[in-house]
Amino acid sequence: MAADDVLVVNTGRELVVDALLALGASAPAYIGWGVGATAVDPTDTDLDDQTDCGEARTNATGSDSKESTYTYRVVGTITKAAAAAIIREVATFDGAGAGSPPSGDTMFLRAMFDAISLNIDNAIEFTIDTLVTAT
Amino acid sequence: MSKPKMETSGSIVGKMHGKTTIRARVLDSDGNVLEDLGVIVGERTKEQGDRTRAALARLKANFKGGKNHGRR
Repeated sequence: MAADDVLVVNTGRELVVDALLALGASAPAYIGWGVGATAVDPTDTDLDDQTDCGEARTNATGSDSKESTYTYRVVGTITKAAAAAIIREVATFDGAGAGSPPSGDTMFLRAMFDAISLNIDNAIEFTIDTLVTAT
Repeated sequence: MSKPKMETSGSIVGKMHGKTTIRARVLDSDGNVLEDLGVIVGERTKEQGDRTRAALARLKANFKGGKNHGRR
């Protein structure tokens, strides 16, 4: 037997998605955004910069997870309310946080992307898929 | 004389990873799609990337925020 002849098998991958869904209201499905430009890091616990981003996190709790494809999906929309901003980062958390801009609760993932110039009253609908892979 | 007791210990490490893809659409105040940005995080073809960059450029051209919004 090869030293690394072990896999988290497909049903195990489904269990991971199930476990996230089973968290219910505490699932990491609260989406927040920011304008920060600092690269993502495993030690991140919050968005980098939420200047002009006082909007509440949107709760997309387990909105459309696809267990059969080992994917935990959240879909949520945030509308720009207070001021136009150039959105550069998004993150998911296990709670809505508190305050404006919201902070607190536990971050699940943070991502950066090319700048999205967003005017007041416009919104971004995010579809965030996390595929559980075994390799 | 008793036989020495043999014990085996060890660990098995099963690797697991999370691979994230993010798609985005920009909506107007009525919920209509202004720009479908497609994949903004994750793997995409060159053509998909070109379409995303073109959509971002259109949004930038119509941006009504101050020049320093979101800049550090």
